[in-house]
Amino acid sequence: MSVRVLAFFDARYQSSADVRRLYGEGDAWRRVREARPASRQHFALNLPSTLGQYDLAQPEAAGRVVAMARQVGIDGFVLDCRWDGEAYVTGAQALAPMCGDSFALAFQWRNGEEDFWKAPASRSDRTERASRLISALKVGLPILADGRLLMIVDRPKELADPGEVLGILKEEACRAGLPGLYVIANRSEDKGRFLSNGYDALVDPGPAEWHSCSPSNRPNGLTFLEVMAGLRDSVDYLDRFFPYVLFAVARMINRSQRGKVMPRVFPAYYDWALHPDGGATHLAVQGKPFDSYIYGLFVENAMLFSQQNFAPDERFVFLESWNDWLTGSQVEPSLLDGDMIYNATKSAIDRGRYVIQTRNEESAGGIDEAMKTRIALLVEAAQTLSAASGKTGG
Amino acid sequence: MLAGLSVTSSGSVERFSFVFGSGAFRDNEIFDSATCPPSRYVVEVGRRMIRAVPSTEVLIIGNPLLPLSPQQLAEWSGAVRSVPAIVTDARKFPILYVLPRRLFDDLERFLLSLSTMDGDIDRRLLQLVTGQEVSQIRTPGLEIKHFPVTTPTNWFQGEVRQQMLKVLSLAAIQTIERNPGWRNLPFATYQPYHAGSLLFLNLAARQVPDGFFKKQILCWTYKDIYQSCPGPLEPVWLRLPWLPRDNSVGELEYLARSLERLGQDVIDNHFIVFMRYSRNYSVPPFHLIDQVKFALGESMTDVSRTVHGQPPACSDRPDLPPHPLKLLFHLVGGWSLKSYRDNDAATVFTVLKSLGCDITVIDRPDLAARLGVRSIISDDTERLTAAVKSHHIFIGVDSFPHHFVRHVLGWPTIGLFANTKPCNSDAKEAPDYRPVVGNLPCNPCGGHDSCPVLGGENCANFADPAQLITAILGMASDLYGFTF
Repeated sequence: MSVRVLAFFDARYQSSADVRRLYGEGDAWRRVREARPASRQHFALNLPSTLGQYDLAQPEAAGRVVAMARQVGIDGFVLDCRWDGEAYVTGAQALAPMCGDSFALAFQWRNGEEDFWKAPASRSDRTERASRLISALKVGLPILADGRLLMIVDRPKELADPGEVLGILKEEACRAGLPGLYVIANRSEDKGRFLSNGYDALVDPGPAEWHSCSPSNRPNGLTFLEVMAGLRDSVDYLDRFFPYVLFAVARMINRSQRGKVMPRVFPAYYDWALHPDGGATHLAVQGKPFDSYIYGLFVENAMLFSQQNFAPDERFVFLESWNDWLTGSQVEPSLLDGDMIYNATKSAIDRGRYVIQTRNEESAGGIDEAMKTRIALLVEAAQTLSAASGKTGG
Repeated sequence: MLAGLSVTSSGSVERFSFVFGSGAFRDNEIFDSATCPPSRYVVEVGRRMIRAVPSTEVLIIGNPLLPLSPQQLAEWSGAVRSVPAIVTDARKFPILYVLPRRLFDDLERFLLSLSTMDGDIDRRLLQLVTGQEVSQIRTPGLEIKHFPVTTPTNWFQGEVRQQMLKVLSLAAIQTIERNPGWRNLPFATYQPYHAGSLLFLNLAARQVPDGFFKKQILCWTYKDIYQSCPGPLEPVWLRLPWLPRDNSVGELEYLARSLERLGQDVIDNHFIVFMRYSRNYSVPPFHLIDQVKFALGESMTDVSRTVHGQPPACSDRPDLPPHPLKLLFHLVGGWSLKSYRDNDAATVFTVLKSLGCDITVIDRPDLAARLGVRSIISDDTERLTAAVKSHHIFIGVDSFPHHFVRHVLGWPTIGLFANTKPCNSDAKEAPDYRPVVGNLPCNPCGGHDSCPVLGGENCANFADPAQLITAILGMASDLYGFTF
């Protein structure tokens, strides 16, 4: 099986009652239209071109969105799953009829927004809430990883008793007739023993949650005083700016040593609209919000990494995003950039899949895990010896 | 981006729009090849249109260097009253060509000599080839001005390369004017000065028996490569040293000296076509051999035609006992970032020696002496062949010896890649061939002497020692039953 590319999808752009109730917005596009940069260092938000400001509740609009995603080579969307006080809402009903034929849905559980899961609770209460969560995921054709429905836990560290909670969720999934649950923690490395707690894999956090390299602006006390004196743009102090290339490269260096972590790729990112009081994350390439060439290489290399490091049915690359217009990471064609990012994505996925075809699954078949460990120890010993002889001049 | 209009005798017009392919081989994709002149795409667009509309009588084809749409072609060709014709910008940069069908049926290869840069030159060439008056129409509202070094559609055309295309078009005009038998003259490739490209050219030519070319121009100093890997293209020897890597001699100056050295007789009896890079070769995922196959005339419309889609052309291995495992390393690429790091090499050798392996290093006597391994110098293919055949596995960076050992000798090989893209120059992965590389998104960076992202002379995208040793021992185990 080739590597599957899943794009994070914002399902709030629809007029269905449950989604409107959850987000409390009459028109979700309005926030994108009306967002105004607070600084000339903020890239302006973009607006959709080809697909327009769609309402996913209209089947024709949802159909066009899914058709364009399929055309680019995306295998499915990842939708947020949120608790609205009474039930879990995904907005997936609008997209479900368009799924099938190698395009499906997965979910990201926004557990960090619920106090319930942060505190101790009885097993029966947790089971009852878990069954509601699972029932919300039973919409349309699911993306299967290792034969199970794929769900990302957004804030794994905020789950009280993660081992028990994951166990309950998996049991409830089976009870609900699902083929099981494949749970991915939103974490950059397996330091907290996530995999032993019942997670099946990890995924790189988004750019705002994991600053993978140092920012290019490093404000200090003087910066603060200069901002207060009106001598400097306040975002120099409040926001963080990163060079896109280094940011992406840092995420891929020695990444097989971070454990079973699936790559997340993104064409651009600037989330000032989500941080009106500062604290935004900005990626830039020589003063521009994106470089489609480097982004394409990011996608292509992430696909190859996934192919080389994971089991055939667990090879994913997560694309941020299909339509997160509020962070500038959208792949959808836009008014300012046309179809540059869309085409770069399509071309990169094509290239990645072509190269994957050329790879041989059976490479290094004669080396088992024990031998790999022995080699790693020998390498470590040789490097230690070399360092020691260097210090003694030997 | 590659646009064309097909016009039938009944006057019906069909519009075509193609893109440069990225590996999916869709109907609207044309193979992306860096090793052909832009004019090769005029030929290919024409072929595709004729295949789709066999009754095509007139072909209107946009200049492949320009991102044109069929709508623009329809608009700008409206003033054309006769065929053939060229529509140019105000400064005579060709925008589109209006060509008769018979050019594609009988004289297709002569379209390779279009400069795609100069309307006057191309008009003269088409007049001579077709024997007809060619009208040249200017579009007053459009001015290309200076064509840039790189474009979003991946063209890589510095001023020098543009001049070279014009020079070779002028040479073709001269050939036709001076030689009445020009229709039967051979086409010769011009890429005389790079060992790896020469190797790939000959390997590709073996797979394109009915291509445009019958001859190749190559440096005399590469005679051993040609003899070790001959192809069907007859050599025209150029008695010049290869182009220096330090840019002390420019490509245009080298071309001028080449033509001078080849002499008038060669020019009068050949059509010479520029075959070094016109596009960035590392953007598409295609092997350079496949890119050359397209340049030679193969349309490459199916993955099964590619190096990666076919079984290896040759395979061989030594008649040696599995122990001691004999390993031959070549660690020096053409530039710093392609060369494997000395520190990592030291670690790899230390571990492999501790496991009883017997190690030889090519062209690094200093490193060999320091690390206590055997050293050999391999300055021609005969010596390289002899060295390879006394070892179980060859481990080499992305450079000529690697390509020769794998594609010509078929020897078990591990390819060490770093800042170049493996799929452009590896081989089909198999139990006896494996490329080893990291996954940094800066690959390929195009840097030579220092890393443009992290700084320093080393590339962080090389596989670490443990990965390399695992790959070597895995292959040794699979092929020879080596145990440790």
